[in-house]
Amino acid sequence: MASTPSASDILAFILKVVQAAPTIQGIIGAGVGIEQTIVALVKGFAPSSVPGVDPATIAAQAVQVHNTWHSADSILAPAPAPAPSVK
Amino acid sequence: MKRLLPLLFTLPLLASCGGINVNTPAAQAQAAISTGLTALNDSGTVAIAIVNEVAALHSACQPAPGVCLVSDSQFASFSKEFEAVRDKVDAVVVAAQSASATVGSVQAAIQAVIDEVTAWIKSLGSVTSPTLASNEKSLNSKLVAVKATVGGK
Repeated sequence: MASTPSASDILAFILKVVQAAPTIQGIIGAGVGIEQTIVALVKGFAPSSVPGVDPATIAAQAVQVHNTWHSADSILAPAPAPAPSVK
Repeated sequence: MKRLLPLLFTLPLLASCGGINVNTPAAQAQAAISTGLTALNDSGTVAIAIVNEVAALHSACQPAPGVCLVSDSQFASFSKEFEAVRDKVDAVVVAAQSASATVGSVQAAIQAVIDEVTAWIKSLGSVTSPTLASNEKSLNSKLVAVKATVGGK
């Protein structure tokens, strides 16, 4: 589910754009397309307001799944000893 | 600055529509995989309840073998099948943690768990108890839900 950045996030973003104005003008002036400029700005957008699932979270969940499914290891029957070979 | 005005209005609009980050296929896949792992963990709790109950039924046999509900050989078979299930669960864990994890790869690994659980339950043969039957039913439905949670085709 997508989330909506807060007003302060948007304000901070606008400030960031304004502060970056000389650089942006330079980029546009250098012939970089408007689309690439937007992409560059979006990449610089602080993602703090956008909930995501980072790899660390998935890794922690994976460990939890492993631990849960292995929690009864000690009570399972041991594998039977292999039959002695007959020579 | 005049040339920047469209940017000032367009970018916040994009952000407010949630078009940044969260709607990318990779982010959606990660969210689905994360939800699937949570559900798989929940399924594990039920699976362990089954293990504990069968182990208790097996232990009850020791002083009075004549009334065994779970014999040594049945418990050994049950244990071996459960280890196979765990191996498949571990494969889900590996798939989910992979940098190239996709909904499809995780879903396929979950399907392997479901298939193995079916064999595991069959290993109990005629062993029955109301709690066991309830937990088996719950586990199957939870695993199907896990697969559906991850989604995809």
